[in-house]
Amino acid sequence: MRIEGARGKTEPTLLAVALAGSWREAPPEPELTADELGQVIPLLTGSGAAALAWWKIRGSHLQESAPARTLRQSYHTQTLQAALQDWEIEHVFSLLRSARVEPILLKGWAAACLYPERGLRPPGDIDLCIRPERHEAAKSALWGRERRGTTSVDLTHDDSALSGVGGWEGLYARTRLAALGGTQVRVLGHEDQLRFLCLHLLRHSAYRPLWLCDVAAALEAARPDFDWCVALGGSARERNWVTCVLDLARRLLGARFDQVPEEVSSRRAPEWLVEEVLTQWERPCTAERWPHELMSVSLRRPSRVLTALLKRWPDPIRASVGLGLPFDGSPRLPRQLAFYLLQSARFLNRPLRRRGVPVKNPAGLTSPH
Amino acid sequence: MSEPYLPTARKSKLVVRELADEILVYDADGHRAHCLNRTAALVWKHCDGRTPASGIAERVAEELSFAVSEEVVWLALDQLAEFDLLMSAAVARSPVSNLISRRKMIRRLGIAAAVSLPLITSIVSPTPAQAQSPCTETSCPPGTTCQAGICEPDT
Repeated sequence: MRIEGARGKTEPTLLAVALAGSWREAPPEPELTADELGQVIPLLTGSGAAALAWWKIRGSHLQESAPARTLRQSYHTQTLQAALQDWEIEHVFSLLRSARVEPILLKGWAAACLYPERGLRPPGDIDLCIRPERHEAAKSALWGRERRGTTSVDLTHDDSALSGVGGWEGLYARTRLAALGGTQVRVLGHEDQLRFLCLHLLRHSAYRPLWLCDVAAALEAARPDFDWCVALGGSARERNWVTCVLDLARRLLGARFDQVPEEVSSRRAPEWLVEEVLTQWERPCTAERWPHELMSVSLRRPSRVLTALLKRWPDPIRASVGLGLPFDGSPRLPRQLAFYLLQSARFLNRPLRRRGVPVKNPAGLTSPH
Repeated sequence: MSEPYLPTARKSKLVVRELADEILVYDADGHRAHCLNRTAALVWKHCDGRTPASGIAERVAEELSFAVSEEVVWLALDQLAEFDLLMSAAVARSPVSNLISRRKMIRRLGIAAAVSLPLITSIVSPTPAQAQSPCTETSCPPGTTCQAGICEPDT
């Protein structure tokens, strides 16, 4: 597969080749050598895309290669992880329903349903969307004594990415029920799911190739009655963002545009966006992207201030999304500078007390505030 | 003449996932995970506490569409017992396992036929997922602000 906008066989382009079409029941033949696959093994395993890469190469000339063993191992481990998480999702739904809260399951489990096997996507947090007025009831239920299990439950998501056409009522009306063990869990409607996956990817600078695979899988799962007006969102800005991500899925991973209307397929993401996503894929592992030190802590050590400031220089995707600007041919540097200044102003505007304690706890629930 | 050994598969505290050509088993008791190849998986499936090794060999042969000897079944039972996947250990009752190892059997059958031999391997046990997403400008809870992936308190 030739990647439009890519220069040579860099690690990000090899990632793209390794994952192209991997979400399908019958993926295409891998177009890379065992050495090339070996080169991107750390990126595939670190970013949660190893099982998908295994799915793609199984049955091919690479199946018996040394790198393939690592991928197969990830596939096995993830499959069991997914199985182990099922009971916990059932338990969380049961707790919340007892408190008369009806959650919508987002991302992880719901996105995994887009693949031929659930174990192909790594399970992470249990991401739930709750109506704003039911947040407190949900937190009480989840922080209660009856809660079991260790998986983080994340209730905080970008509401604007979720609400879409028709607001919360429209969103709930379009949800579906999916079978999970002995119960049924509520997931987003197909259209809302595609839009949410696109916007979530952009808000995180598209750094994980897995997220673009999610988008590609959701796109190819679109049925003839798929409502593109809902999927693209209500505003011109959202339409721009969603169509650009769909174009990224096509150009970087070879997603099929069979079901896509002309209005969407004719839209192309700017070249810089394609290049920037490939740049982001040079560091696709979440662990590497945490700042390691809060700004408030760095400020107390003058020798680290410059490094801390440089680490917070925003990439053009994050800057554009943060400022609510469309992806187009406009110069990126002014956006990045404006967003950087905006963030600095926000930081300086905060009171000086109570700084330095991260609120989002990687091992537990997101703290209520 | 002694009673024939009727192996019974262990079911409790196991999470089992069937894949196309293998079975994955997570043992919640020992926090260990195993992968059974097709032959081992079939032998395990037929360990119903009523069927002797000879009967299991016939059933497995039927499903694999080629002859499977009782020796092969005992080899599988030995491994299943070793990985604690049987209700009682088969090793002591096996008439052949102490005599024929997997390696010897491969030598006897040849490399090509070795793929049909039962094999159980340990796999990395699942750990709590580490795929938590960092926050963004709009995802932090009220009273906090996203600072490069972390929600920092702002009051």
